[in-house]
Amino acid sequence: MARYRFRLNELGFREHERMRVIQKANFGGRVVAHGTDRIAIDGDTASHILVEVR
Amino acid sequence: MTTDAHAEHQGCDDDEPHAGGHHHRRGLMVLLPAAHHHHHEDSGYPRIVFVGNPNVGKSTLFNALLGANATVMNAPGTTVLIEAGHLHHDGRMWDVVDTPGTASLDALSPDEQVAGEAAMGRAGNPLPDVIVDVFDATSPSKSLYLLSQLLDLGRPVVVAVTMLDLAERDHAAVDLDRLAEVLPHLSFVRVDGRTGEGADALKEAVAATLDRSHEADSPAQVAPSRPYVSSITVPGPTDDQEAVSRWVRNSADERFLWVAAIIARLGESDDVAQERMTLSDRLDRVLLHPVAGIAVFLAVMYAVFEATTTLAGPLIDWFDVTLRGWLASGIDAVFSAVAGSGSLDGWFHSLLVDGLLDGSITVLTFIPPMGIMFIILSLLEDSGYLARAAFVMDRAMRLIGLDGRAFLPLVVGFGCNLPALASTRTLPDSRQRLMTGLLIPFTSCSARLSVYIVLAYAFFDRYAGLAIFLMYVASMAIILAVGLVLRRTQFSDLRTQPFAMGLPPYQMPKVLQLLRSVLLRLWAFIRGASSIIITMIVIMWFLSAIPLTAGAAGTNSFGHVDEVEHSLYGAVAAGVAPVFEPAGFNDWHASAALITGFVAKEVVVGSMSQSYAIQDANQTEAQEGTGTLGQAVHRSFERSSHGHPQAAAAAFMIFILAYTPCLATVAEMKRQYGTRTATKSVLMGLAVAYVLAVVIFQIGRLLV
Repeated sequence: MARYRFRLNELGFREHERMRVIQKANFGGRVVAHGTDRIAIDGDTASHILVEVR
Repeated sequence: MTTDAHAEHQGCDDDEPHAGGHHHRRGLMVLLPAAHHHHHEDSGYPRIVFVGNPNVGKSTLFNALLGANATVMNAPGTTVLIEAGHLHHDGRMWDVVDTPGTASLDALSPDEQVAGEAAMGRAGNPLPDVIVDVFDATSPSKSLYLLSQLLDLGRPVVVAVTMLDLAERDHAAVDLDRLAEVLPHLSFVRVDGRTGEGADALKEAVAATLDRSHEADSPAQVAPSRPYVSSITVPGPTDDQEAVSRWVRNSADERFLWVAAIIARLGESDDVAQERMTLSDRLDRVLLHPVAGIAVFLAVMYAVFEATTTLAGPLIDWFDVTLRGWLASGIDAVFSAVAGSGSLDGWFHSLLVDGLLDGSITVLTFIPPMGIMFIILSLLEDSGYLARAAFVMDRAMRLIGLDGRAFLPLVVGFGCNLPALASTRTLPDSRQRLMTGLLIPFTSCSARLSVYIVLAYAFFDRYAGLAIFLMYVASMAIILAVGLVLRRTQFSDLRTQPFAMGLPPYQMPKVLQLLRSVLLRLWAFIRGASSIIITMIVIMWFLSAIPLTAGAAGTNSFGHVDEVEHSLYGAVAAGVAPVFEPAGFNDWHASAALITGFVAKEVVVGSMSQSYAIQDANQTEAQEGTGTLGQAVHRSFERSSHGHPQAAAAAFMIFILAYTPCLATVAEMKRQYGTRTATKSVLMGLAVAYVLAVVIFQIGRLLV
């Protein structure tokens, strides 16, 4: 799982990064905006990402 | 290999180490092992390697540059597809290679690993003389991150910037002049693979970079300097993937900071960019909605299924009936003119009409469903919807360890297995592609339906509809079961990855580019499938033409056999029949139908009629089932099953469902995955079909 965690880092999911959830999908999936990027993640992955809501 | 790799695939044995591209072989040669040819050896020409994130239009750009001169082949020792070719520019020749899309040189899949190896000159690849980084303007952060890794390699880099029109549409255009100021040692070229814009400028930039490289003492002197100070050594060509992964991760923080600094200098902050609602965001509100998204997806799948079946039907009939009629009439006219009307009864005429022409028409009948499939695939890919479809179906397909994109090929397979196999090219992971390809033959295609209908009406009367419905249920059950077995055996290494994917922006496909891509793909299919299909049909003609007995009237001769039973074909069928004793259909008519069905399921019913010498013209399959043919089959199965004909019929239908769909799919499998995989698929289908047929019959005869 360390490999996939690093891939999430590479996609922009890093500590202190600001992101915006712009779409809820089925089974808990999310589409997240990071700058101009749009990243789709499944529900299981999303549930393992800790966020601070602002 | 993603998106529109529309070039010709020259047959290759990808399962063997170091296999590479081969010259196209024809006829029986395609069945023989190919000579090894290490295509990745240094040819002496400058080597240009295209690298980029997935879904950035890299392959579109590559094909716009090379067109029909590109060759699809397998990377050494893998099933990963890459494209390569020679590019001519201003009197020079370059070796150019396109690689699978990758987010990073720290590879997560075999496809990404192949991309990294090509860029770094590892695993037998020559060092690239120039790396063309295909840079997605709508996603500068991801593009800069990969660019930073490529710059570290110390090879000359040219940056081809794509999707600028889409970035401008979303008011997020990357200022190329500003980018060139920030990164002064790089060449940035605006390109659009769909229109060909910038192709000449890109070639000029590559040529200029090569010229500077030749004038310098080493290519590294021409390579842009490392974007940041780092003490971490870049792995070399002899280092393994673990070393590459360590390098990427240990230098990751520097890269992230560098990317952030560049983005800040380009002007717009990430916070502003991610607050902006783009056109793609608005469309995704519907297309990725938890409820509406699935409804739209199912509607799209239904449209795809209908297009490859109902829409293709009349076109198939035109080839099968009208064109066949014209050509047969033409052959008759030539024979009559040259050798008189008596020659129409000769074996040579029969060989031409019933062998070669029949084989050629069979190949041509696949053009409508394949062409429609390629058009639809291109539309879904180029528009950006296919990535969304993968996301929608991800959870469902995880049950059998497959990518969400595998749903499309499986759905199409219920129309026709052949375009379904072709559509597996959209799966970015080669192992996923292979596993999906092995499952597709178990989808119950529409050609099998004709056989179900005849047998269902012959044996199950008013329950015929239920019997046919249960065949589709059985098809899905077999797919699930075989999928689970494959996941635990051959594909135990196929880990279900977390789904995390950059979504490309939606865009309107360009019609001309799309049509060009479709035509090239169709031509590649025809060249690949025609030799094996025509060869096998001619072989079957010969088997049917060789008499083993004098016949009822004592007049049988080569090419003139009164009944199939009296030919070598009939003898082969009779020899095979006892194998099916445990399945209840030890009858030469049944085994003859199955042998014919190996070539194409569409001809099984006709073959059965021929074997029983029944000529009921213009009947539907249901009418045939309750008519003379149905009665004849009923009598045969009554006899072979020792009084349990319904159980035998069910077993026969299951066998039809599970064994090889048709010769065209075998040819396509060989083209995509190699001889070993195609053979494995055929054997697996036969084994599953036989076991299920025996089980169904043995249990069925206790009940009925």
